[in-house]
Amino acid sequence: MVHPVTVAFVEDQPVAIEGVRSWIAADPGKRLSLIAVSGSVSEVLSGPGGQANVLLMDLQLADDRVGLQQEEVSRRVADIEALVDANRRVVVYSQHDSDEVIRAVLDAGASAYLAKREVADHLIDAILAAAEDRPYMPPEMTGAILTDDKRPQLSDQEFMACRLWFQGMKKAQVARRMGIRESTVRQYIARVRAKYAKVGRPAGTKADLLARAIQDGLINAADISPRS
Amino acid sequence: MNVPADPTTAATRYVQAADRLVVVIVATWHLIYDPVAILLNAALYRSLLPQLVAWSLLAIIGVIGSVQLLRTTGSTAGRWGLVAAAVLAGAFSTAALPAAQPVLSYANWSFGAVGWWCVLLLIRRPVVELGIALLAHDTITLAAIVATGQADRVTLARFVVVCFGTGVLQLLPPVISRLLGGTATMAEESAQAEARIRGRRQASEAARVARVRRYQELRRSVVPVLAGLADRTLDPEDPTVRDRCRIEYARLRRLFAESDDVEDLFMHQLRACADLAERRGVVVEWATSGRVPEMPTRLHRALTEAPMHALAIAQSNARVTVLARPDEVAVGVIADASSSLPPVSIDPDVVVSNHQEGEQLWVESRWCTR
Repeated sequence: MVHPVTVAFVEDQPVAIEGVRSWIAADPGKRLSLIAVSGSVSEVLSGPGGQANVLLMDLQLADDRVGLQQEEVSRRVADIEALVDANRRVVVYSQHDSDEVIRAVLDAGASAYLAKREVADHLIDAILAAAEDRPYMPPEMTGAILTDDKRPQLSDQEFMACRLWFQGMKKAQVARRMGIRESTVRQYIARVRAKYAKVGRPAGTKADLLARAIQDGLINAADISPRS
Repeated sequence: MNVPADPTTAATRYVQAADRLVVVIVATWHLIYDPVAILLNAALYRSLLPQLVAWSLLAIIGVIGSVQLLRTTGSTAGRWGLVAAAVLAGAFSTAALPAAQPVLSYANWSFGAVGWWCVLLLIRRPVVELGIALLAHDTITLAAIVATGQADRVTLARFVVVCFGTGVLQLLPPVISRLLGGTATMAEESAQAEARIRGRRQASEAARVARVRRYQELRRSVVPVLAGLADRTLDPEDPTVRDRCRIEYARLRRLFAESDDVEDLFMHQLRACADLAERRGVVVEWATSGRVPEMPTRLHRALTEAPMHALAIAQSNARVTVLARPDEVAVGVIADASSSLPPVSIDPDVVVSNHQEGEQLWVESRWCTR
């Protein structure tokens, strides 16, 4: 992957924009570059953002009103589906959402879901992983996947690693708790994310993620065969 | 008359029984007694035709009145019209008697009959109206007696006796109907009141038993701390003792939250524990995923025991997570606390794990049926 990875940001709140800008600038490796910001998807795509490696998109669910919220969610999910079908990588980030919304976003083909409070620890890694079709799973998204009825088969170890990760342990702590290496913990978490890409609506990004995972030896075809 | 609309109550059944009795009386009278009277005295009539016409009229009125009466929701409008028609039919029959025939004779079959028609038609209306109708009919008969010059002492005496006797009989059905209905309604109401009282007593008994059980739990955990503080065997300056106090305070608070009527009792209790920590200034972060399945209260308590413990000793921040599936619930707390009193599981179905790393304490309470 050519560094820096270019990012286009769909967001209309100045505070959030400044926050992300400063996080990207604070990365010592300067691995990301923010090349476009706009409040609408079409505007971002029509400008230099159209060439960006990854789109970072806010779900803009500031409202608590149920009716309006559901309409906005459907619109955003439709936007994501369109972007994914046009072979773009999307990382969604949002204030706080229910499991259903997180799953809908992932089902549409988003590479990752990032809660706003997870930005500090996970923003850069999530975007980098999305650019390379590698699986990345911040803790909040992990919970939604673990409680999905349609989740794929997970081994006990995989489930435990994800559970502790969801509870907020650092990967090193998970490793110590489970008595395994930290790289194994990363692998377990990545495998769960990769397996989840097989679930639900077929999408280009999911297929790419799976292909990359198989290529990297993370999973093999048997892990993702359909359950009887 | 206030007839209860519900056809299954005892009161309604009694009233309907009285109605049916009247219909049977009227039917029997008109189908057996009256035809027999007409036929036996056929020779005495100038012509049979007026009698047959009157009989037919009364038959029609009788059928209409019976149908209206037996249908429980019939209105009582138009009854007086039918009453008037019946009385007129009777008068017609009487007027058609030959002048020589005494009014108070067997040949005057309509005299006794019309009274029962009044009962049939007016049984649902106030009893006074029936009385008026009967009086009116009797007055007409009296007028007939006087008009045909039969008003001697014997006849008049007989008239009074007959009117009184049949009148009393005819007033009985409505009166009895009301008495029966009223008594049945009272019996029903008192039975319902008794059932209500019994139900309340059972509910309060169940509540008392539950309360006794709860206080027994408290006796094991909270009372020793209070007793120790009271008799100075526990030093309030000791941080371990302070931790214990906070834990027992949280336990009490959780106990109070148990009796709250909320949709998600489990989360409500967990939030009550977190609430106490927040009041102390601890920043509590939440992450929940999935819906907690129905569980008995003892499991609620067992699952929230260790998290409650960890939240009570957290110093400045804590992260609470709930991961719920139909066959598994895991509650985790990561807080900056050092546990000198590691939380343990109080229920065999719940596994408690903890892990201390420097200033950070991780506690997990897990229930799993797999």
